Amino acid sequence: MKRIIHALRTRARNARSDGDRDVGVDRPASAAEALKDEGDTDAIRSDGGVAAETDPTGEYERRRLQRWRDSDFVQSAPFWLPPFLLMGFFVYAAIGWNFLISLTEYSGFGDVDYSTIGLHNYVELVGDAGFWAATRNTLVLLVAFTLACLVLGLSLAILLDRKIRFERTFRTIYLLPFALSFIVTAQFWMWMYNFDFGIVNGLFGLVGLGPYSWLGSPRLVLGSVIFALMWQFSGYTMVVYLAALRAIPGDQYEAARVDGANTLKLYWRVIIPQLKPATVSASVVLVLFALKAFDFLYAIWGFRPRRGADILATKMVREAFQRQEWAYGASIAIVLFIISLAIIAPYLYQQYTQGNL
Amino acid sequence: MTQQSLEDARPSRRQVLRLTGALGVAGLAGCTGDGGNGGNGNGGNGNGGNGNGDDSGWSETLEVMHGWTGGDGADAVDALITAFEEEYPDMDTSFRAIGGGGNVELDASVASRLRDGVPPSAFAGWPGKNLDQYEGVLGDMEAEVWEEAGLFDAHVEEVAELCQFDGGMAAVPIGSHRMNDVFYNVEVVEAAGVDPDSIDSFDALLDALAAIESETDAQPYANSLAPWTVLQLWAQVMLGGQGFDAYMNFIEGNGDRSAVQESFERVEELLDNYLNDDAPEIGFTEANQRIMAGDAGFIHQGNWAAGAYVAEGLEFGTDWDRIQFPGTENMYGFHVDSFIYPSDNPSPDETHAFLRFAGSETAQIEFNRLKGSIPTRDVDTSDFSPYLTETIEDFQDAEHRPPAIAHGLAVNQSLQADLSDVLADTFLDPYDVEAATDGFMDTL
Amino acid sequence: MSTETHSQTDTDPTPSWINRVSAGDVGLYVLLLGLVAFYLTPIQTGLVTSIKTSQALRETLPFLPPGAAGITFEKWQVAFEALSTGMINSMLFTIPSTILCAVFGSMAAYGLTLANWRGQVLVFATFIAGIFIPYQAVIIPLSEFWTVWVNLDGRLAFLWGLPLLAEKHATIIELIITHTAYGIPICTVLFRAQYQTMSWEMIEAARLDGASMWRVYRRIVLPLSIPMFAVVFIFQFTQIWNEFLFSLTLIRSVSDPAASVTLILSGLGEAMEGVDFPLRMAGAFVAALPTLIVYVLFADEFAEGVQV
Repeated sequence: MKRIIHALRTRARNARSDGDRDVGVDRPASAAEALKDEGDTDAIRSDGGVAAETDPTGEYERRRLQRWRDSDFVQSAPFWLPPFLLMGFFVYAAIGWNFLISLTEYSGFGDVDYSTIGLHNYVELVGDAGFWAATRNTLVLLVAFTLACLVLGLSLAILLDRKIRFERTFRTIYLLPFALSFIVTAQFWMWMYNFDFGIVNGLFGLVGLGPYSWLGSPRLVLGSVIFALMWQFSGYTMVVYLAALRAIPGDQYEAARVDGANTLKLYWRVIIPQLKPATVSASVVLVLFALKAFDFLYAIWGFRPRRGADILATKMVREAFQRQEWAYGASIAIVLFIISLAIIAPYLYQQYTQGNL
Repeated sequence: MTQQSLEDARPSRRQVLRLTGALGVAGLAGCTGDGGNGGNGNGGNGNGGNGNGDDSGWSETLEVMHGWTGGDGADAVDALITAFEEEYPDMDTSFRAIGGGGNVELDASVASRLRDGVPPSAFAGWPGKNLDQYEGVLGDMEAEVWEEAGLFDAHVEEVAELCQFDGGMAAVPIGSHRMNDVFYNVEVVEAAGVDPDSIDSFDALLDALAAIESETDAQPYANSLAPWTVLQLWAQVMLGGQGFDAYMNFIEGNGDRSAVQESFERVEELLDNYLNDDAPEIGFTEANQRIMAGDAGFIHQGNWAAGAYVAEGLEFGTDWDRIQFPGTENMYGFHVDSFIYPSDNPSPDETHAFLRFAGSETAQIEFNRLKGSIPTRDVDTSDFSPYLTETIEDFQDAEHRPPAIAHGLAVNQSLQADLSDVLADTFLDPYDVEAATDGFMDTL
Repeated sequence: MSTETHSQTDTDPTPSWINRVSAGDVGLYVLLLGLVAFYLTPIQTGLVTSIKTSQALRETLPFLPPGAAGITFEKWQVAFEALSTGMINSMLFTIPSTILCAVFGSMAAYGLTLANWRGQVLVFATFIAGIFIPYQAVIIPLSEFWTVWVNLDGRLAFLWGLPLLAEKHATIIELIITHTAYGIPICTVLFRAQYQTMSWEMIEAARLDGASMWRVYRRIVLPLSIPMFAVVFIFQFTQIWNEFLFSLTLIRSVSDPAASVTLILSGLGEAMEGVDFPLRMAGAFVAALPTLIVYVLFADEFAEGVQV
């Protein structure tokens, strides 16, 4: 079905570019140019000016304007441009603005002074041991949390993909934590991990271990947070994998079985390799959720998480909104942005080259 | 009066503020059932500050933000408000209690109001170096408040110094908590066979804790492991072990490394051996509950901890008692709460009247006897509990009044946060004395 | 994305399934039920804890319900009172921004899918990247923008005298616009995923007949989008309701009249006597109630929204 649509779209696209060739006009060479042209009649005129030399009657220019007005670009602009501008301002302009603030010395209650600009905040970051500790914790959290969610989510998906009764009920329950706010789940886990009365210490107590200070010990705290986040997000990976599993044609299972592969081999050799796209996109989403784990940590500790659980997201908010070190906080925000960019950009590029955009 | 000219330049802010105030009052009226502020005081509208001495012509609403939302703090501030409104029945007032959580909420609200350029009339906060963070947004009311009400003579010299900012006076003290008390459960300590009065050195304190550990089931020392509680403990260990001068040198940036290190070693010895295991997870109030319940022996806290004992109906001397932190017998560990005065003040005359009142004997007695803190001025002590009377006497007689490091007086908010960060990152279990010492020396 | 593609698992449901249960199946169901316990225990524990008296809290196991003497609904009442204004505030900004997000998302997806111009992929890529931006990267400018530059409550001061309007609504409006802006990317992606599967022929035919983009949108695309609107509404509603960082940085204070439900919950139950766990649990449930209801009623739509 998808392929048919794709073919249709390609055909339509070709038809259009054929038409273009007939008139012999180049369309804007890039999206950037297309954007620049938008609503900017000056650009058209000067562009057309060149054209007018070959077509002195002006008839061509009028036709071109007409065509431009009728083009999908102009016609679709009222649809996508307002949301694009709103989103663009709040996302991209804000990031640029944030970068600008990170170059200043803005702190306290005064106004931002953009006249003295430099990289001093970034220099300060390099020498800030707390920054490196937060970076380390952030990376550990990203990797461990993502892997844990992928493994658990895939296991859940495989279990649910086996002619299960009440499959929908199971899925709904496993995904339930994902529908809850970090602030809500943090309350539950604070109680679960409670030193004196928590269930976790109760379970360990059954086998004669503990009690442990799950949220208090610097050695345990990050693991405790990762486990709680895994509880909340593994349902998400399950849903993604379940959809991917359902997309694998049933005859592949049959064929593998005919070849005598056992279940484990079947999944390892045949099924899991096909889940790569799902794994990639789930990983990207999970990594970015982990970058936002701020809410959960704030709900437990406020601005200053326990040693060993401070991540860049919490440090950034603390520097800016508790200590009023706006510029310094902004520089941490830029580091966070760069980390996420390092993950999104390759992903988007890959999606683009595979024609998935 | 530059205040006035600034104000006139920004009519829109005033307008906004008046509305805020009115809303606040409406809210307050809803709570207390105290109506009758509908439209009075409108006559003087538009010519804000020229009717200076005329007490009946209050034209603006006084809006005070504070963080005393519950317990003894709320009772104390209620008493303060009642006394104020008796004295100034015609003034529209809005006292806004904001959040809890160790003033995090209040500070955030105040910060956002100041940042938006719509300050309240006054807000509660620590004076001293804590005022640094409000650089550029604080006003000076030395003439209208401190001089007019004679506060310089009435209050101790240290507190006047703490309320000074940029060559003027930016705050008025409302009360002080003592920082160098160690509280204990009498029953537990007696069961352990310890004579508290004999604890005259840090080692003697450790011996007492060891005795509780071996002789009773109680936790020898209960507390939270929040960075600020450890910071205030460290400060007392430093004061007691190294002396007042070493402490003052440290906060002034000329600290002696070995003194700092030795203090950390002692703190480690205390916490590592005698602290409750769940200290990182609990707050000091929960630890304090254990003292009251007889589940723990000693706790070091500012004397706000004593408020809970009184509220529980526990008897000073028979149920709970206190010693001075060993080595600080001639000192009063100084903490101050104050009302801070923002510039661009929405109601200068009303605010001045309120601040003059806050520094007065009436206000300081009404507030402190309920708050469990003490006035920073000479007062009649007959209304105070035996414990607080004793504290007031100690305060008046103290040779030194070292400013608190964990409560805004000794170092500014940013350094205080840095010190807390050092503790959180290097010292709070596992205790890395070397790294913590380096961190403290680098910070100051 | 195309969940339609079918599955080897969907053999005809046999009513006599019980007869075919093998030892392996038993193991499977035990495992699945064990997982149910894993996912529900924190929530179930919270629920029983929320109705315990402080004595029962200390004396009963955390996941077991208290005896009749140990039950109290007082915490629920306290939590509800503490959170009720927050619930109203959260509703006030969540519902409008959910609707706005969905509308804008649908429009953007239409403009970027069912029309043909070069560069739309690039524009679309900026939308996708917009989903993944860590909000920390924008909150300083955002608070600067709303408090210093826009200063809505000052500018709209003339409105606050009117009935039903108060100064807090300025903050609510700020939150509506903010949540809308940051919700647009995900909504656009969700709608575009659907629009890519729409019949291109029908739309081409309509356009060849001279129908304008707007007409095509209204007559063909919008009616076909209704199921996706349901998905987006449900997903966005829970996302915005659950959001915390914007509340913290734009509202700032728990005691602000505009405080959202998550913001109030974050400071609930920190009493002088230590952390009041039953109150916190009750608060967590009160705050989660709307999302729980939506989730239980529309679990399928939610699951679909998740699969970006």
